[in-house]
Amino acid sequence: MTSMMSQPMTEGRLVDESLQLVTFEVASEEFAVDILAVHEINRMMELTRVPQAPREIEGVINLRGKIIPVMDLRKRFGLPHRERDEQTRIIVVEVSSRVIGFIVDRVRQVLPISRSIVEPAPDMVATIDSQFISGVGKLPDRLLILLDLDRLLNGALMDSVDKLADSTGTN
Amino acid sequence: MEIGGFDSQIIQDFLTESGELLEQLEGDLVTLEQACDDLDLINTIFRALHTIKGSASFLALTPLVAIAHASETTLNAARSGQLAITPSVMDDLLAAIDALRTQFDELNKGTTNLTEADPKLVKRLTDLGSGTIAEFEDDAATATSAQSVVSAGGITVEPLNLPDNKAALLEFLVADVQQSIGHLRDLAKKLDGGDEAAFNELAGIASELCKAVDFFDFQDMADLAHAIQEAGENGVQNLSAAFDQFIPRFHTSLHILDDQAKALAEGRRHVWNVQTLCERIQTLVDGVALPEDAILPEGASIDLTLRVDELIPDSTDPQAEPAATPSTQIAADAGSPDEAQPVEDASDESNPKPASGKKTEAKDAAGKPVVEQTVRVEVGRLETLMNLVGELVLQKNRIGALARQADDALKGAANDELSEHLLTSSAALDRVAGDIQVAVMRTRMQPLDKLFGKYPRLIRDLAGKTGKKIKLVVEGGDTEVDKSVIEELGDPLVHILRNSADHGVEMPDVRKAAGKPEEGTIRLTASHEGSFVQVVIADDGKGLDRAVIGAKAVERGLTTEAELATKTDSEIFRYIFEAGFSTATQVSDLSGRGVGMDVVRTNIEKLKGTITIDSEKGQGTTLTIAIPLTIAIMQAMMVRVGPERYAVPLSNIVEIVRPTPEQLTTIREHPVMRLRNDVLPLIQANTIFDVPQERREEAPFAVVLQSGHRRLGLMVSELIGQREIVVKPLGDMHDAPSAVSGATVREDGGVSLIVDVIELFRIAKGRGF
Repeated sequence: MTSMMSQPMTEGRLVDESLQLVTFEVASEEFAVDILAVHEINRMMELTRVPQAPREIEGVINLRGKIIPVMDLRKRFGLPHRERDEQTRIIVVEVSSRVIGFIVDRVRQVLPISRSIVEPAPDMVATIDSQFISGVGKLPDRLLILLDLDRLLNGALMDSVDKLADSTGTN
Repeated sequence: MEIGGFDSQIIQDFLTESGELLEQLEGDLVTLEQACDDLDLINTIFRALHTIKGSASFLALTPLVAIAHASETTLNAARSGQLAITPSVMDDLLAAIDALRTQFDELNKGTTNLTEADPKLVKRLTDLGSGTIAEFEDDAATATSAQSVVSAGGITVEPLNLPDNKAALLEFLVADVQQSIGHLRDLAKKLDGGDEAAFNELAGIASELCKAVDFFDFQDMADLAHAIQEAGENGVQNLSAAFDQFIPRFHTSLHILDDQAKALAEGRRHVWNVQTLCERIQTLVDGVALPEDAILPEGASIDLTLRVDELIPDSTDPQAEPAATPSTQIAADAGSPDEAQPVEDASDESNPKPASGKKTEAKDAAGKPVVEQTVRVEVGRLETLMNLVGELVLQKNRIGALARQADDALKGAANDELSEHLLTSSAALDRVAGDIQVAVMRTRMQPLDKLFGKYPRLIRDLAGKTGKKIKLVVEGGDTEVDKSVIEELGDPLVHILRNSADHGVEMPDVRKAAGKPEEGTIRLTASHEGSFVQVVIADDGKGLDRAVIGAKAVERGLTTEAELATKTDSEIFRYIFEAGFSTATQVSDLSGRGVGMDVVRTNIEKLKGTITIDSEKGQGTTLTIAIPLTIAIMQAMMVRVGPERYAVPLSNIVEIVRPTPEQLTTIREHPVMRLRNDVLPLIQANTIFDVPQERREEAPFAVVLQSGHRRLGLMVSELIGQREIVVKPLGDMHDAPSAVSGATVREDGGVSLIVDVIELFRIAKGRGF
């Protein structure tokens, strides 16, 4: 998935290939990640706060005996907090062999799209910093923001997730 | 990675297996120094070295083979009684082990070019064993004269074509084969002299021969060597009965092997047609009578045997038995099962396994220990299994709770039978899950010998360096603990033993003057005590001085003169575990005790263990370490901090109190609590765990924690109760130092964090406590 999502998408070169995406909403924007990166999607579950953890890490959950860190995408994007509701989901993904959960407002659908409709990210998409975006999928009726999971988890945060993943044996 | 054409897996297997042998070797060698004449031990060491060498030669690791071979030569001289194991010989042997270890390390790093061992060392070792080599040359000489009798025919001479990697090792292997043949000849002599007990040694020596021969991959040699090994393993009873038929064939086999070995040494290959000979040995091993034309007259010569067993053409027939007529041969065959029967019965009485048993059976016939049946499993797989079992236990608990709920809800209802079945079934599930948990935990257990095996060498070297005489007595090495415990316990034990040897045990003259034996004793004992394993390190050295340590503690402001008087010896000795308590100047004051002892204490506490110290001046010091069998599961007190629940390791909890307002005060603006004679720093769990302001609650309970001799109080909102928890690592996902060391899954499926007590003390220290 890393290669697909993080490579700059050149129009025309990979026309024939299609992408299977899981799409979800955060703050009324529709985002998408490659389905191959997604392990599972869970309803909101009890989170245990970890003292002194990075701000974006909401806490840890028990995923069938494994302790997994969970990140709030709203916090990561610097968006205002929203109360969790029936629609709130935790998407568990594997990024560079690290397992982490994302809290999203709601999950929409699994969507196959052709690579040909994916365009490079513009400098700014809505309120999201373009560094997290690997491309924009132009559907007839709406826009999909394709997330770059690697970069979403980069920097100091990634290091801490890395350590966490190492120690919990998710590697 | 490929090394010399072998893939890394084979190398890895070699390293694992030979690595273990190497560890064992080192321990055995040091033991041998104490008991030079223990022939069994020498043989064990010899076999271990031999196995390493055999595998290494298969992998064409020439430098490794060279040093192993040299050590083996020395040991061989020792085992034949020509060389006494003096300390200097032992130094050389241990140096050889070190050289081997260096080469193992290199292999581990993927290097092909192994460092050659110091040529001087190799030469010394070879020279030490040279007496033995000379003996073999004598043997060879007599064999040559015998050979001239029969070399007339029957063998094919071929040029020797070996691949380079094997050719390089030819010399060693030929020496090996000849050495084994030498041993077998000695054995044959004993047998000739009527000493049938010598049969018992046959399997052991023959298996060495097999290993050496297998290397060449020459069918005839291998067949013959294996036939002899088979005889040693499974044929002892039957062969005693057919003694006169076996012995000449045994001599003949050795003769042939010797001829082949000599030819190899000269770069030629002698091919013998050994098929008939091997078959007949096997027949004898199986306790079946030979056909009449194969029966040798008593005291048959090698020459005759060669003829009878079709190894050389039977040109001068008259010496052989007259050929059997077809009718008598049939009679003999038909009669053979009956004849064989009593023999087998006899063997069954003395030995439970059938004498004709196959090679795969454990070789207890030769008095060797039965090899344990084991499978190597990756640790990662066991960890996955542990995880799953943890989850199983969790679900089991939930089902138990649900069954009880259902039982309550359905009381008196028409289908309350259903809830009863549910209860029974959940109770059964409970038991099975419990058993599985124990079984999985057991797979991770390893004997402490893994650690203890290294220490005799440590003490020996220290004794050598300091000029002291020290004996290390190890007991209970078979005590099993979790793998993680083994890993964490190693360093503290080395530290303690080093201290005992360095500073505890006195110089021989001092000991003598004090009326003690010149040789000091350090006793390392392990035993199971309930769910704990206890490791005791006791020396009979000079002991600790209460007055000196007490004075130092007062000087450092750890206590006062007044308090000192009320403390027990053990309490005062505990000060040596204080960080920085033994700086360079204090070492001499305190007879050096306590160097790095704070590290020891911290490591033991990390394992949720305790360490206590007893000492009597002039009599010695005893350190007692108690560690849980596993750190994967521990006893904890669950406490509530605002809305959150935390687990506090029970091993650190001294008591729990609810302080009155009078007990609470501050020192330098930090809250403290008076508890009897002590003043304890207090840490608010709300603050330390960053509980959001709006969710904080009053925290009236003080959980009194202990680390070393220090204590502090952790203020929490509520005590929930004691639980056995499964520890899951959390790693360091914090920027600031945080007082959380791991996580655990609660019965309700939620996650609770485990309080890092050591970190709490660090924080308290940062505040000046």
